[in-house]
Amino acid sequence: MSPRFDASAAAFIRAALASHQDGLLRYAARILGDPERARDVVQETFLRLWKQDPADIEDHLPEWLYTVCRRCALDVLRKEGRMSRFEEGQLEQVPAMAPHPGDTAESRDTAAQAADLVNRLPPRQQEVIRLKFQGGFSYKEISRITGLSVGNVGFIIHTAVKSLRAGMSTDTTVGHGS
Amino acid sequence: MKTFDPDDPLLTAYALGELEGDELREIEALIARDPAAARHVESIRSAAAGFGEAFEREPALEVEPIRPVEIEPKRRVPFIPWLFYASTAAAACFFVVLIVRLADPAALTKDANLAAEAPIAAPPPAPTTAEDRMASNDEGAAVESRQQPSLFRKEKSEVSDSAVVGAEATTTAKRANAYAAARERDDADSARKASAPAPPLGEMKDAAKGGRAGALESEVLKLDQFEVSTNATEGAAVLGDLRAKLDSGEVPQAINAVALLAELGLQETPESQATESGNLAAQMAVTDSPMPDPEAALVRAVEGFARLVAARTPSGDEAWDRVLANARYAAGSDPRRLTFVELVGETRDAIAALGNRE
Repeated sequence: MSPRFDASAAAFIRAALASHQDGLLRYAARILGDPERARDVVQETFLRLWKQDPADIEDHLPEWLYTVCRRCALDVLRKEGRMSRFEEGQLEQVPAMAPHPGDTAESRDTAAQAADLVNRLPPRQQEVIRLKFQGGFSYKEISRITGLSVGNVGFIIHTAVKSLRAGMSTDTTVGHGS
Repeated sequence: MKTFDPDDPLLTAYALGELEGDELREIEALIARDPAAARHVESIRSAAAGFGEAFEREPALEVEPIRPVEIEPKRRVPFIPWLFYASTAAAACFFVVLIVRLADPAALTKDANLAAEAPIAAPPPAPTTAEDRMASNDEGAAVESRQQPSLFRKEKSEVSDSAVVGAEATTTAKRANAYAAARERDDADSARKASAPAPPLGEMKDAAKGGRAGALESEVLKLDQFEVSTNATEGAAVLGDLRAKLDSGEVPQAINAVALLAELGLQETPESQATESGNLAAQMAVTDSPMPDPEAALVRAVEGFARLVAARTPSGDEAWDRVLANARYAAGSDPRRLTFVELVGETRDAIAALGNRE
């Protein structure tokens, strides 16, 4: 369990950092509502990664990272007494993000519309839908990350997708009508 | 035969590629015979692709990226045996002197007077046994012991008589330091509380028993901040305090408190409590199956551990296995919780060693 410092381990960690840092930061920020705290949590996640044997986790590295990241973020909420708010569904809102330089106005509108709809979902649905469509995790992986049953994950995603589709349809109709 | 229901989560799961086995075949059959189901699945796929694209376009957070250097461990300092043993001996000397002075504040005044009158002590004989070596570690304390009232000399004798092996004491010392450090991190009031009045003399004496004076001294000094009794016989009150701490989310503090109880309980719990409390511990300690969530497992592990220690439950009792299983389950990769797991294992070993000596 002691930290290692060899070339292969360093390469493993650096690759993991490069691949998953952005996604983990977003994920933690959604839970904590604070990008800087999210950075601390993600940093702690990678510090813990140093203590792991790569052979033990490399076949499910993203799942491991998100699981640890989630646990660390919830620990922060718990320490700050905000856990009940999270459990009650009052997920924090992350401050506005800067638009991507290459985005056109139209694509920005579509992305912003989708993001807005997602942000209106209940927090549990937000978390699961982001793990699915942003993190690319399967139902089973989401189940292991969140501690929910696979059936429950399926139901939550189904409900969220239904809401999002309805929202997109309504917004489009409203937009065309106005 | 399954019929088309647009509100069926299986259709969403199918559209997202999540089905397998019988459910997959069932939905495939439905789509093959019902064009409405096929259109529904296609619309879900299309929407899902749109969501994925929208998320991909979501810009990164405006936060400084983590640099690899921030997460890479520092290179280890090479282990130098003589330096390690010399620093350990120096630390032991410091703690023994410290506890002697704290145990009898009047000695501080006496020291000043006696120091001027005391003859220069002859050098002690070369240590030949582990006990001798421990006693000779602190020349200052040895001089002091010749100058103190008989009560103190008796304590010093007890230290030698019941000295534990050096490795055990070293492990305990390291652990105590780790707990002290963790406490200081976790408790914003630690500095203020650490400066609170020293605990009663009796607790100091108890702490000094068994050659663990250095390690336990730091524990005892900070005892009041946890508001738990050092007397392991007051099990109900202690467990009540622990429960309150756990309920209020002060898990690290609760663990620290139990660690302290473990140390003290090992030394002062009467043998007579063992059987009844041990049986209770076996019931308390993780009898549920399957495993509860990690936090509940931690609560059970901590409570079970406290009871096992208070009862000095034999190390072969399966309740230890259950407490360890719960502690490991709750620990995950949390370093502090893993320390708790180590503590449980070490305590069990210590009880086994005590049993062997007896």
